[in-house]
Amino acid sequence: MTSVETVAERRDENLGVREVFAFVGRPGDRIAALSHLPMGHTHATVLVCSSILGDLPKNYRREVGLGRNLASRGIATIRFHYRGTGNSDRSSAFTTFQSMSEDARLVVSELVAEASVAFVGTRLGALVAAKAAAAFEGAPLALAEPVTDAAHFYREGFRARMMRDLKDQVVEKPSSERLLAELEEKGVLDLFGYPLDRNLYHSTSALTLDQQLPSDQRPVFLLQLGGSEMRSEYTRIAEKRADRTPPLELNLQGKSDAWWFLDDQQPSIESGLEAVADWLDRVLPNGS
Amino acid sequence: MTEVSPREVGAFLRAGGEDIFALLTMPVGESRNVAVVLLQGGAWTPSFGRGRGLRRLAHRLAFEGFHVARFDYHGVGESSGEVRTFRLDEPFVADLKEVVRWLATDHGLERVVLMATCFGARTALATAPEIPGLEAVALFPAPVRDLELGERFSSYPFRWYLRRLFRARTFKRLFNARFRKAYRKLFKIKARRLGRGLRSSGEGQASRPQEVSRLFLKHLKALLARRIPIFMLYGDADNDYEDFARALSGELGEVVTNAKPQLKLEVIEGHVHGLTNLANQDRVIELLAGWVALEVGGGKLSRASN
Repeated sequence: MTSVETVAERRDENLGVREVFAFVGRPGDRIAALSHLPMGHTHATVLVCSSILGDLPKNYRREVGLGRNLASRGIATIRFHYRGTGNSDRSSAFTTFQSMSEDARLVVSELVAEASVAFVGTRLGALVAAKAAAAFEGAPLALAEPVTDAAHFYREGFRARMMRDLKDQVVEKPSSERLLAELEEKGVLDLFGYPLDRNLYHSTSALTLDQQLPSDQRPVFLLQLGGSEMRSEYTRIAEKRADRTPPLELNLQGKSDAWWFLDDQQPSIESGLEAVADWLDRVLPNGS
Repeated sequence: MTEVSPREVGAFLRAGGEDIFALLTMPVGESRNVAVVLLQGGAWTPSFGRGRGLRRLAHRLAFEGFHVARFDYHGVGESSGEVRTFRLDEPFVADLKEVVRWLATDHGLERVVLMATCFGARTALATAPEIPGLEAVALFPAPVRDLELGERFSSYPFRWYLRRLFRARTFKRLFNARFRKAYRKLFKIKARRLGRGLRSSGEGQASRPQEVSRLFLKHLKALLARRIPIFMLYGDADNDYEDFARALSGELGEVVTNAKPQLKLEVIEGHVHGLTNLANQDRVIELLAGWVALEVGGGKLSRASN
């Protein structure tokens, strides 16, 4: 039996939302979880699976905004920090794709009371959300700017690090191979102050969204942030699911992000995730 | 196998009409009855910090017997509200005051140490006069000028650009259309700012951005007058350090020189600002833990460092 310890609670009368910060699990192994709960009737619960490393703070307020938006519509929303990240216990060396998936499963089993559940995954979290959703037949799945190929996600991070190395003139010829060798040798790679541990890299780098997406019939929504047209990697995924009912829904909103760098302006929910809230509100049973 | 993790309690605190999310890490073992408050910079990173640097610092200090509070500014992390930008001359005093009040009234912690980075450093300095039980302040690093996020590059004086104009790299970039466009934009900003400066000599306008902020100097002097120990930590690659070093030729230099040994200044290699690399995160954590043990705990570092 896992324990849930409530740490802090607030009520937002204007939104009609109650928020609870809690630790799930035993001391030393706790998962930090934040629930956005409607003050009135709750007809469904959404689990948000965040991304990792620099994406986590980058997307943080968007996801908080999504939680508040959904809760004000009567849909409870739970966000959490994977163990080894954020305010959860464990060191970053603990985090793997398996542990992230296990965390999602644990949070659902401990905090979700409603029969109707949906999943949201942002960036690399899309892979976790897709895997977690597979255990719930027909559960809606929304993917926001999902990473379709984890190896590509890391390559982007390596490129950003190489740019900094060049700027700081710390190495003469930076390369991905050199960074991978550093990761193997030291067990951890520094990506702008975020630790990419060997365990996490090895457990995720071969993963693709295509592998993780449940093959059954369920509503799936894919949001692309920015650009003038849908990227081919996303249209390909939609085409592969064309025979499902309902077909995967593609959506293009907001503007694109330089994911590995912090901007001068904080993105808000208006810069994209509101479309996710609208879609979930549409596909989840309203319970009334 | 699970690891030993300090107990953590939290609260949403009402400040300035918003709910501020705060977490208090409890000491492991014997308590020193001193609360260390960690203040994040102004880049929307939640209170665990980049790469969990502040969470690691909190846990490190908890093993030294300190209570350690972290919080999300309004508009950041789990707190309510909106914040569009962070201005160093408009620090979030109400947020920090409420956290300090919570520590005293709910946890009986009257003795307070502030450890703060960048925007947090300016918030700490501005709030310090209103914290009677303040025992020490660490700033890692403290920006000495009043800049808005993203404003630094366009804020340098003309002589700074003149020096750089004659560098080979800058000269080469004049043949690149993209850089020429950037330089033109910068020139327009500088011309506008110069025009505004000539038209106005009012108090509010003149306070930003200059070589050293009058607010910064005022707050620093107030702390020194109270005989509160101050630790200023910079990385030699920090822009903040460049500003600080330049400002030492003026009034700030006199203040810093006369403040020793009450004011400890340390400069380490690389960047401290933003804690943008793991090695310096570790270095900063150890330097801060060592300093606070010396200033507040009688110099003794306990288990974690042995």
